[in-house]
Amino acid sequence: MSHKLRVNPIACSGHGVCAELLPEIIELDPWGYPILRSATIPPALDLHARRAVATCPALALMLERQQAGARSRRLLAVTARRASRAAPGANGRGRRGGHSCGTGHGHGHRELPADEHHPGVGGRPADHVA
Amino acid sequence: MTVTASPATLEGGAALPRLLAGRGHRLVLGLAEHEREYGTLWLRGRSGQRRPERLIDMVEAAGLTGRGGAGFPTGRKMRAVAGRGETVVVANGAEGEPASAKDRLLLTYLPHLVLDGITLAADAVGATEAHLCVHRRERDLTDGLAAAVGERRSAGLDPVPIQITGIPGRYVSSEQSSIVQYLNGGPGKPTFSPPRPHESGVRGRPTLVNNVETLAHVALIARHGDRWFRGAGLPSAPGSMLVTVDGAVRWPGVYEIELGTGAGEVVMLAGGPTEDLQALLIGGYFGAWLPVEVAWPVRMTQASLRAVGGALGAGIVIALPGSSCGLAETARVMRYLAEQGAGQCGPCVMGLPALAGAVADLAFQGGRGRGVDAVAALLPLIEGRGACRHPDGATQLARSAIRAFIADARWHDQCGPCDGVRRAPLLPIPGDEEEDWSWT
Repeated sequence: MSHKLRVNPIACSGHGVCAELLPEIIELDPWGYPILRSATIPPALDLHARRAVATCPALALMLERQQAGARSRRLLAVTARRASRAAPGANGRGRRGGHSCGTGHGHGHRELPADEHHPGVGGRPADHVA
Repeated sequence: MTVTASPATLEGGAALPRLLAGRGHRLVLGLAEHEREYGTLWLRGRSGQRRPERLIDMVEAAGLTGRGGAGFPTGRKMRAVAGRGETVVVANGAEGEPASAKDRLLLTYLPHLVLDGITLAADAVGATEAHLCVHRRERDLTDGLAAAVGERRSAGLDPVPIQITGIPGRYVSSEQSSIVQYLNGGPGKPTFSPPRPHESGVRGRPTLVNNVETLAHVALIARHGDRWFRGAGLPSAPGSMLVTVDGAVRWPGVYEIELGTGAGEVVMLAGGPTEDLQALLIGGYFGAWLPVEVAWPVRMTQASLRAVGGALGAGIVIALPGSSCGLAETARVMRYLAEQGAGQCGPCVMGLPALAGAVADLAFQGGRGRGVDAVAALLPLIEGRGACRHPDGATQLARSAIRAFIADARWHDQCGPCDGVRRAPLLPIPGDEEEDWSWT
């Protein structure tokens, strides 16, 4: 199972943060809006994609699970996660604690930031990387 | 533009007109005349036995595809919505294409055919709500439709009441997600999808959005069956369709043709060219220019037109005379399309004016050898990057113009504008006074 990156072009206001964080996938057009070189995120870039999703100031970037043949897409949109963060207690299960990012995945070729910025931990560690 | 109906048949084909059968006299067809012309509508079959889903089977077997431009199989669309609780049916009569007149013709003169289709679709998908959307500026249209709906109400025809809604008259407001957003209380701009309307549409319910011509075909399929429908057109693209023919032809107007009719035959149907032609614009402002030698034999089906880089769109054929400048015509349309965006997505907001400017420079200033490349460089930066298909349609038109008029484009690029730019504009562009600029 791989993940697919999508931009909501209505929400995107061209901050360009995503292209800084995920230059392997995202470049900017002459007006500063992101162009995805490929929508599918290779596993090695998964964490970086999640970080880009979490850091987008416009919440315009989202990561979707891609399941071959399955019609239903499961949104891993950061918006939902931020909403659940805004309501403490709603995501008590596994909230950050005990889940160290960057280690144990075997592809941490970049220093990952503190948990604060880690998008993949908001209450569902099971989602982490296929 | 005049609206005319005249019969056209492929060799050995079915008798046309079908939809336009009631257009013999230039009058609005009332309910009584409508039933006399097309036959009485039996919602559950003549004996009352037909299950509502039976209609979906028939539409699917008929191979009817959407006539609004996208050409999606109607039966599949209906099945995606059917049986999912309280659903909604929306008939899209907000003809956004300035060059198209077919939906307006149907709604003006043959309203009951469309209203029959709405009622049938609502019954088939178990809808509890039905809307018919037209541009709100077209008061004569909404008034006429309200009268037709009233006539049907007193006859007890529509179990689900049909509400007429006027939507903002902008180009992108006729896109299906815009209509759904407007019915939900929004400004009527395209929304980010998924979820698509059939998943979550009006008030979050599964919503079937169909073009009014598509629904008129449904009304005929319910009466005559899928085999009758397949009696016209090609096995791979069955049925008939309405086309709007304009430009350098003797009798511009709306005609009914079988799918698969050659584009040249369509021009001949409209009285033939009035001058030597250089190109046809097929599919309207979301379609493509095709050089006349390519376009003339091409069959009017989605697949045949795609194969030559064109699009069927909403069935528009505009004949461009040799004395006109295709680049100048395109430049005017591009400017219009750039202004008509919803102003939501960056690549469209920034890209379309830049593209329109590049095409206008090439057409009216000459490009100093760089104009063609400037246009070509912008296309990939815009395509596929909006929430709706507006930027894609605009880039398709620009790309096809460069391809179809490449010799002319090189001339403009090296030597400056040709004589054709001084000819009066051919393609219709609604003026500001006709436009409905506010969103709310």
